[in-house]
This record gives sequence, C-alpha cells and structure tokens, in this order.
Amino acid sequence: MSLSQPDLWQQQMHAAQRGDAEAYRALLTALRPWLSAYFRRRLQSPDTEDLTQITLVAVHEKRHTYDPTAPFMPWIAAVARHKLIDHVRKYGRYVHVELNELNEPVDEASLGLPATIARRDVQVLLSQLPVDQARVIRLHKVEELSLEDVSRLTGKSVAAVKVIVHRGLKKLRDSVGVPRKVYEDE
Amino acid sequence: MSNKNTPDLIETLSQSVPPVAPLGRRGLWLWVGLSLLAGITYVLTAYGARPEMRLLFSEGRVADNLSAYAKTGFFIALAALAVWQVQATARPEGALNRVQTGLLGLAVIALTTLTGVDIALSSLPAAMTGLSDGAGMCFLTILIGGMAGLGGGWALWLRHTAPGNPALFGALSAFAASALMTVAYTLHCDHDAPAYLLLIYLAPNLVAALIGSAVGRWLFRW
Repeated sequence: MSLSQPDLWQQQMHAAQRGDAEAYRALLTALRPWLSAYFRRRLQSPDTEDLTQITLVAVHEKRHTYDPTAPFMPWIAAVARHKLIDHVRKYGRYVHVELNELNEPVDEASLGLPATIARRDVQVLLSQLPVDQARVIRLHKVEELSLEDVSRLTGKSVAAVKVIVHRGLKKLRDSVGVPRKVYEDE
Repeated sequence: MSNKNTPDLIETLSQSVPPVAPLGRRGLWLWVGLSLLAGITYVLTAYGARPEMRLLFSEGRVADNLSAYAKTGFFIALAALAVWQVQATARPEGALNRVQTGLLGLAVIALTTLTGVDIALSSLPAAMTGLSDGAGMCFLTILIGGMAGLGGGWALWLRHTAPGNPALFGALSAFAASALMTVAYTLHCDHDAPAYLLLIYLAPNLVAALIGSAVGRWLFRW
C-alpha cells in the first residue's frame, strides 16, 4: 500500500529523528519544492529560495520538536510560517495572505497550506477585530458576497460596508506589522 | 544562501543527522519539581513556615484546618495552568489552550473582584492592611525567585523548545516560574487579604510575564 505524501513525510521525519540519513535526505529534497511554493504564494520577492534554505536549516535544528505521533503538515507549515514572519519583520516585505484561502479545499498532500492552519490564521486575525467588523469582512472577503448582499444581510449601507472593510483590512495589516500599503484588494 | 546551493545544503544537512530525542514533557516537569523544591527550601529556611501550618504539622493535625492551605491551592492551580500553557505553546505548531486561558483569566478576574468586594465592604485602608508590613520583600522574593526559576527552566528544558510565538512563550514561562515561586512563598506568608494576594502575590507574576515577554523575543528566538 502506498503512503500519501503527508504520511510518507511523517514516516521519514520519524526515521530522521532516529538518525536515518537516507530518509532525511529524501524528506528534505521533497520539502524543497513544497517550501518554495509556500513562500512564492506569500512573498512577492526573489527571496523565496533563501527562505527555503533558512527553513530547511530550521527543520534540521529543531527536528526534535516534531512530535512523531502527530501529523507532520501542521508542524512544517508552522516552521515555514515562523520563518516567513521573521523574514517579513526583518526586511519589511509584504506578505500576501488570501483571506478566501479558507474556501479552497486545500489537500494536505498538495503544495498549499493545510486548510486547518489557514482557517486558524484567518480566525486569529479576524478575532482581533470588533465582532461587527469581523463579520462584514468574513461575509465579503471569505464568503465572497457582494457589497450589496453584505449590506442587505447586515442592515448597513453599501458605503458603510465599504468603509468597514477598508478600515478592518487596514487594521489587520497593521496588526501583522506590514509597513507598506501594497495591496488594496477591495 | 543562493538557489544553486540548496541541493548542497540538503546533502550537508542529511550527512549530519544524529538521532535526537523528541521534545518530551519530562524536562518540563523536572523544572517544575526542582523549582518548587528550591523555592520551598529557600522560603522555609530563610523565612520559616506559616504559623498555622507549623502548628498543624507539629501537632499532626494536618487536615484540621484546610483554609490554611486555600491560598496555596489557588496559586498551585494558577501555576499548573501556566505550566500547561507553556507545554501547549512549546512547539512551532503549538497554540494556547482556550479552556486553560479562560481559567487563568477567570482566576485573575476572581481575585480582582474579591479585592473590589473587600474594599467595598470594609474600607480602602482596612483592605490594604498589611501592604506595608514586609510586602516589598514578599513582592521581590516572588519576582526575583521567579526570574531565577526562569533561568533554571532555560537550562533544563525551555532552551530546547521552538515556540511559534517567542514573546508569548517567554511571558508564559516567566509567569509559570513566578507562580511556582508564589506557591512556595504561600507556605510562609500569613497575609490572606484579597488586596494583598492581588498586589503582592499576583502582581509580581504579571510583572514577570512582562519581563518574560520582552526577554522571550530574544531568548526563545529560533
């Protein structure tokens, strides 16, 4: 029976923790394109290969923090995200986070961030906003309802919805330490 | 680092892959045990045990007056919650446990409310009785003891972690270390007024958390 990619990676990481160099080499080689894709999707800069290398080193140095009984994907996604945040803080680059990533059925075996992690990120971000503002953003950006539909559902004018979305996104950008206004995706 | 070096890097990393023991809980609980042991030893040696406790133990009536242990029990619960949160956030994918966070918040709110009620029922000066009676020493013992405990934790277990949020992890670790020192200190101190517990017991834990948060950014960076 062949293993799915996350299961295989989990098994390889477990073997690497026991000192299996072959399994570890195979894992790092397989992680390289996954990490490159992860960073390319989020960073509009030529630094993705550097970040991939930095993350591979972090995987190496912190491989003991992987719990062999737990799924591998949340761990590697968290390591990659940590390195990405570090990089953004250091160089002030803009990270493109798709709010509607939630709706994409991202398979863990694909190159995307696991849906559970993306969902948690969006929830954490939106929880920083007042309930009304978070609801409007969720309806418009995550559930992709039109401004008119959101206006009908919330009882606010279209103009008010626009302002709430604009201010909410600005607050979210500020909260994740994004210094430059690059995307105005409204 | 550059693009063409990645395969070389992978080769280098995979050539040096000694077996590693996955991060377990043993070191964490060893830290907790040793912190308590060191704290209790210091407090009892330097300041002595709380009079009621000394009496209960010397007369073999340990369970006769459980209220003498209420304060200790409260801070044991607080420390345990903080330690569990440290454990929950020690890995990259770790996250705060909502129930435990809620309980921690509830404990702080409960103590604050009790203080408010005490002030309302008596008077501010009455509620604050004892705050000048060696309170500074209590505060400093808990805070400095907590920081020492954080150092011990770093040496024993904390340095092996890789928290997703180093500042938060630092705050939680420092709070836990300080709460453990508070548990030890409750075995000596006989001030039980809510205001005293809030300002002299809990406040140094919160100050330790602030310091831990600042230090954690650097200490737990990976």
